[in-house]
Amino acid sequence: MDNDELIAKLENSDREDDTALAAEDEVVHKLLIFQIDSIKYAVYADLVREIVINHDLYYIPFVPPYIAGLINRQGQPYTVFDLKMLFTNERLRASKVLIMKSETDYIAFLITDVAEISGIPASSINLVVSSETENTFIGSFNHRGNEIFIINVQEIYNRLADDLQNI
Amino acid sequence: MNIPIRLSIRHKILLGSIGIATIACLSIAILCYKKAGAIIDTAAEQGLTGITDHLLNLCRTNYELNQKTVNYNLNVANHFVNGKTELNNNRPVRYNAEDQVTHVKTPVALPGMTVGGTFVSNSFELVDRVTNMIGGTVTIFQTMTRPKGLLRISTSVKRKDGSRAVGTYIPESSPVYAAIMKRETFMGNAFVVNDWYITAYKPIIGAGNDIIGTIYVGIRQSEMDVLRNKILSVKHGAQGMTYVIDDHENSRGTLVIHPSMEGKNILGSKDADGTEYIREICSRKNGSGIYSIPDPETGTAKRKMLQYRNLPEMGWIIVAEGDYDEINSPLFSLRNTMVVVGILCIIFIVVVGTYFSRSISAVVRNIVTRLKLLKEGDFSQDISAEDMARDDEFGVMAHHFSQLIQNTRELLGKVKQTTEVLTESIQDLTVSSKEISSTSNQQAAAVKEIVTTMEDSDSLSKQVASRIDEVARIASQTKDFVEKGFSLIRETLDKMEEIQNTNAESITGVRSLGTQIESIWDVVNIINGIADQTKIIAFNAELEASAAGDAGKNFQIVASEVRRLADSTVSSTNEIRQKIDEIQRSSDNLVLSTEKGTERIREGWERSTKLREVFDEILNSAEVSAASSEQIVASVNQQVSAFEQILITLRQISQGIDDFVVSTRSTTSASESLKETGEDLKTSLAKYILS
Repeated sequence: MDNDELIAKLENSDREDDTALAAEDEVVHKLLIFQIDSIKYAVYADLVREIVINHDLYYIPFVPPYIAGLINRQGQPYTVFDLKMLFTNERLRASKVLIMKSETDYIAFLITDVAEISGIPASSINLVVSSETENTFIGSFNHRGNEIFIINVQEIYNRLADDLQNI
Repeated sequence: MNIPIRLSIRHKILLGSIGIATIACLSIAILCYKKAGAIIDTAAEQGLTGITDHLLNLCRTNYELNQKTVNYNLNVANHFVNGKTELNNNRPVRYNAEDQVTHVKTPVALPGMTVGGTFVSNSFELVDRVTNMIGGTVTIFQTMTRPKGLLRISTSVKRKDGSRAVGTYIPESSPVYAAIMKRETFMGNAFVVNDWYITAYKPIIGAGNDIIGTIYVGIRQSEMDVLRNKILSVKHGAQGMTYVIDDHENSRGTLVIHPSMEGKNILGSKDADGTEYIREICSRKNGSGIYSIPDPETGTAKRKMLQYRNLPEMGWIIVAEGDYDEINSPLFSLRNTMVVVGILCIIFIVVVGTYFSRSISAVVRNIVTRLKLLKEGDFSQDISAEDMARDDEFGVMAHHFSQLIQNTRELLGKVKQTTEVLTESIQDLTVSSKEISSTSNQQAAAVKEIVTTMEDSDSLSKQVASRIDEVARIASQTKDFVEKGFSLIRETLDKMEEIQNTNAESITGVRSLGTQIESIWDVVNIINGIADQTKIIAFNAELEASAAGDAGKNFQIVASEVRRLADSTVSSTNEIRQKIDEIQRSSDNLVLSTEKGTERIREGWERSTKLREVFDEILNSAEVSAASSEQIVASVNQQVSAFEQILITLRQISQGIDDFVVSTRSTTSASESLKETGEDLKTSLAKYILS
């Protein structure tokens, strides 16, 4: 190998190192992907406290239809959201619940199943810019050929607060 | 060998004589032509050999005379230089010394040379004066040491461009140099500058008794005009010529003396067959040959006869050439004459052959005409008196032939009379024989009709006996089959009962299996629930690990693996579920099928029972039929035996009448044949005309 080839090789190596450093610098979001019936959605994993199964659900009267009821989790009452009712106006028959982290509210989502917890680079997430859908979804990303929407949890909290005030 | 063309005697004689004459004429002509050709070739070769030998002697004599002249000339030239030649180191002369063979040039500087006090280096006064006195060419050489050789410093020898050949030198490899260095005088044929000369060289000895130079005299070989003219004037025939080819190593193939191409090198010339004939001549030195040589002007190849001789003293090959067609022109004339004479001979033979063949064929033709009439049955005409009167063998043959016709005519007359009497007797015999034959035929026909009727009856009774036998056998077989069938039905009923019992046990077993499968189903559901919960716990662990940041990385990996394990458990239990579903479906189908089978078995058992009752009745009927058939067979067999006895007797009677009919037919046929023979004989004799 001559001198020129060695220099070219060293330059390539430098470039690759730069790329690797850049990749290391990129932010990776942990997202929990779950299913409502067969449709997949995602929430940021750091917003989820835990997942529970076969927990007793207590029906609450005079509340919006997307509230499936209450569960008692370690002495705390969690309001369970039926996201299928929220999106399609149909009730979901499921036994799994996502318990969300929140300092102010005790909120949970009724889901069919949990698919996986996956690290998604920030560059792969397409943020939603439309004003219509911004309330429900933050953005979307392509995961193994499927476009998955990320639920805007804060907006759902806000909506619950608004709807409860209007009752 | 069969010749397909039919020729008459006359034509055969004619063609034979012409053929023999033609072959004889052609053989003589070819023999004469070949012989004459060989004689002419030998004569021409001898003529050309005489020319070359003559010229060889002439050249050799001329060479020897010239060599002597050169030797005298050398003495004259030597008188001018030897003992008077000195070298002057104070007056050196520069030369661009050129090897006369390789033409390689080398710059040299040599001391100036004086002869009798006269400076001769690059000065030509002395050599020109000597040349004018003795003729030919004169050169003074100075000895060189580096390179070794003899350098021409003053000469009357000229190059091809006309300049004097000063500065060229004889190299060390030359025999001339070798002889001079041995202080010897060289005489002979030598290459000088650019051509071959008859030469003489003598060393010039200096004051210190060393060889400081050489004096040379020479005559150019190709400039000997008298010899040249003499060679060119000698030729064989009008088209022939003589020429000389140079045979020296470096100039081989060059035409030294030639009527039109002198100086041209033709070593690579080829004849019409592609042979390099000059190279062949140079390699053979002496000999002869015939070559088809293309004409240099027209390009047309002509056959030439060449005779050549080598003259080694001068390095020459003398060639005498003769035109082959010119040499052979008398032969061509002879050939034409022979063709004319041959044609005249053939015409003469045709005329004579025609006369003789006509004479012979006339008699033969008359006899053939008579033979044709005899073949058609006409014995009334004799051979003509003119043919019988001939004195030769044909006259005797005609006379005997006439006698043969007369004898045959008498014999045929007697045969005719005898045949008439014989024919009438045969006619009577034929009529009576026919009547007997007719009567016997009628009797034979009547008896045959009776035999045929009896045969038909016999055949019918045999067929009836055969059928009855068959019926009795079948009845017996039927009885056996019915008995076997009855036994089988009984066995079938027993087996069907066994199947019914076994089938009921199978249904019970399959139902029990369904219950057990349902219990497996419950277990699988429990496993699935556990796996589902494990998965959720794993997700929770993963969430906790994620919340812990870098500290929870490893834990996250473990949680992820637990989740994957739970996933695979769920997947496996799903597969088990599917399998259980399939087993349950199969089990249900099996119960249904078995129940249907039980129903069919029951129906079969009922039908078999009914069948057994029917077979009871069939068995009784079969036994009665078999007994009756055996009685009928005995009666029919007695009837068939009686018919056979009657038929044998009738056949014997019919055979006797048939034999009699055959005898009468044979008699009738013989008399008919005799009658036909008599008629044929009469007809055959009728076509002969006897008067």
